[in-house]
Amino acid sequence: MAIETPAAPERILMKGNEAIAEAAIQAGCDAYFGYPITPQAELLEWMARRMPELGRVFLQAESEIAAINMALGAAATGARVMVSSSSPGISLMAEGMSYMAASEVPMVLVDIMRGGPGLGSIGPAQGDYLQMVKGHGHGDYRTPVLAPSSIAEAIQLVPDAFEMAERYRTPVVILADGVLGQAMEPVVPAYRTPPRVEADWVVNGAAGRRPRVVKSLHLQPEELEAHNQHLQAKYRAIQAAEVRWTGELLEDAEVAVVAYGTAARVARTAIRRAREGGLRAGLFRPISLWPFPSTPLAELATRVRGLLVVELSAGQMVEDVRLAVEGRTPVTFHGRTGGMVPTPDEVLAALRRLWAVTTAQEDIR
Amino acid sequence: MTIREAARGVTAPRVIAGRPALLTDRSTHYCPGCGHGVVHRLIAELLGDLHLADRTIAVAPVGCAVFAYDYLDVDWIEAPHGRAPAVATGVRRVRPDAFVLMYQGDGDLASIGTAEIVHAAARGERITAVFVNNGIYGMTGGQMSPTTLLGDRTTSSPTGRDARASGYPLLITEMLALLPGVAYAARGTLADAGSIGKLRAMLRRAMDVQLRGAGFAIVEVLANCPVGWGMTAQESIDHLQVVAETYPVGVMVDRLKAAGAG
Amino acid sequence: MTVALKSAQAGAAATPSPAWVPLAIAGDRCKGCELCIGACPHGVLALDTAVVNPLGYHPIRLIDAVGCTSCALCARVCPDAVFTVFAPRKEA
Repeated sequence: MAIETPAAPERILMKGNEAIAEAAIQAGCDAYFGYPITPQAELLEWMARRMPELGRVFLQAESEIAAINMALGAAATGARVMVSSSSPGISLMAEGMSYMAASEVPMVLVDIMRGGPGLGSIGPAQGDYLQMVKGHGHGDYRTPVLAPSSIAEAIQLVPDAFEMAERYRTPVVILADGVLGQAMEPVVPAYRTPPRVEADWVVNGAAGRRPRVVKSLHLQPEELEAHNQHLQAKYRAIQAAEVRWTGELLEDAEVAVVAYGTAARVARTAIRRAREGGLRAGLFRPISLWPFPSTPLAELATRVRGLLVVELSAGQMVEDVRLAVEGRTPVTFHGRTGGMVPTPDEVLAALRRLWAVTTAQEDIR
Repeated sequence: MTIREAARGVTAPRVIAGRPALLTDRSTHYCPGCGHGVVHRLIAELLGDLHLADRTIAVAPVGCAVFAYDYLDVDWIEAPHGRAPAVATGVRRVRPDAFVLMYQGDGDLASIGTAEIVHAAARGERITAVFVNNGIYGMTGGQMSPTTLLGDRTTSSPTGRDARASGYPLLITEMLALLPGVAYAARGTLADAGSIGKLRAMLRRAMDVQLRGAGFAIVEVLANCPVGWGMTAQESIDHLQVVAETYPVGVMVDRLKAAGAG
Repeated sequence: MTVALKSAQAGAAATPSPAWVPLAIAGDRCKGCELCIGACPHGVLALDTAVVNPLGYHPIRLIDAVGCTSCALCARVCPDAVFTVFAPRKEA
């Protein structure tokens, strides 16, 4: 009797930008607004082709400012909306993000980071961590930030982002870099369509109900304070429920690398080489950059000699690592800027220096 | 009416003008005599006449009219300064059946929002733009705007607007009328009761254009700002005659009419 | 034909019945801007300086109901929509 083997799931080669776009489409994205900027133009182009095929909305805006405001309008009526850009364009969207967070309008924003500051370069970077995690625009607000480190993970995080956006009524950021956007990887796309949430706040024409307003102006101090307290309560709820991170080889680690996105992939190779050389290294990879996985990181800090933070920047997440660790263990940093990507050997060398320094300090004692 | 009343020839009083139902019951924060009040009233009348209230999604500006959502009883979205046309575009694209109305002042539309209004018009977005032009930033204390007349003294042009420093008043509606996507562009004024009647007809036409899917429609209103201009209400209304010398009143383009579509 | 015209022709000082006035004014919403005074062709409106409304203004008052022809120009220029204008009273 022949045994039937289930057909292997089909792996397809996908470019990161396009995979993210298709994941959004499969997640039920109703409208996409964008503007050409390297290195995410392929996301815009994929949407330009696919959205009209499906009778959904695609519009290339005249600027990133216009794009984020189109998103505000569309999302305020209850549509599931995505916008994408890269570092300089994100700067232009800061005002819109503040308004959307304050007006509690859901949306997914994809940032494919490039070298900066200023016009910078089109190479990959992680120089916008502070911009995205600490709140792109003005005012006391935060947005969840999810950082994939592979195309397969990006595909998984996109529907999660829409879901989180609608559950908490907030913009949600997917933070990647030019490597992830431009690379091609074979993936079994794990698309998912989150169910629609019943929304009692949307403005879609006041038939059969009292009119509503989507706004963020609260001129009375008491009223604005109450609104801010409401937002802060929401952020505390998100912090309690939406922390994501993963660890590799941490159980017996003497030292650990803390890295996200592309830097984490480099670090993964580095810790394996370290282990081959007898150094017990591990990797702590935040997936949610906000809410930052402070508690598990603080716990790890009690067990290791030291932490090495690796970023494609001059050092931004390292500040949050130091805050989380609160001095329990030394925190060192290795980074490259300008579109340069740290190599595994650079990271390995930094790990060995960390180990040597922390061991020497012990010997002195 | 009873037979006795009919015999006496007394008819029940018929209302020929009153407060439109879509104006909320609140007193507005606008200064005495401010043009925003009249424009709000006209919009309320027209949305009521055209039975549009249930499907109107209106976009509010930043400016004195930031509280428009407190006065006109429809769904509103507050836009950042100048961005109303982009917000309205987002609404229009995902809600094909909505009636989309934008309300902006001159600082909002003709200064920081110039890119957004030009591109919404260029795309021929089926939205109706109400552009209240009083040549000043009222809400922030009376600064010069791109539509302030030459020589006018404002808090940021204390010696009078000088073309060498600040250029010439910007004629947005004329510029937009050049674009094929603009189905209707007109400029009305609050200068007298007759003009207000004509303005009402322009606003009605601008709404019709959207309902018929013809494209972008804009009505610029020459409005008064008594406090910003340092005049009494009546003086500021009279001053609109001077404004009209730089900003001519009339219909710049009506493509439905030109096409014989009436 | 309005009551005022008819009574002028008849030469009699006609007074409308107290139950009917051509204008109702929401005085509490008036801001005393006086634009209606400028628009009124018959001079039947004036600020009521004996009253200060809750907004702090002298509200507008109809001072000559007979002279009002219900032309509604006041309602047209009023920024605060304080006027309700009734059609002229008809006599059989």
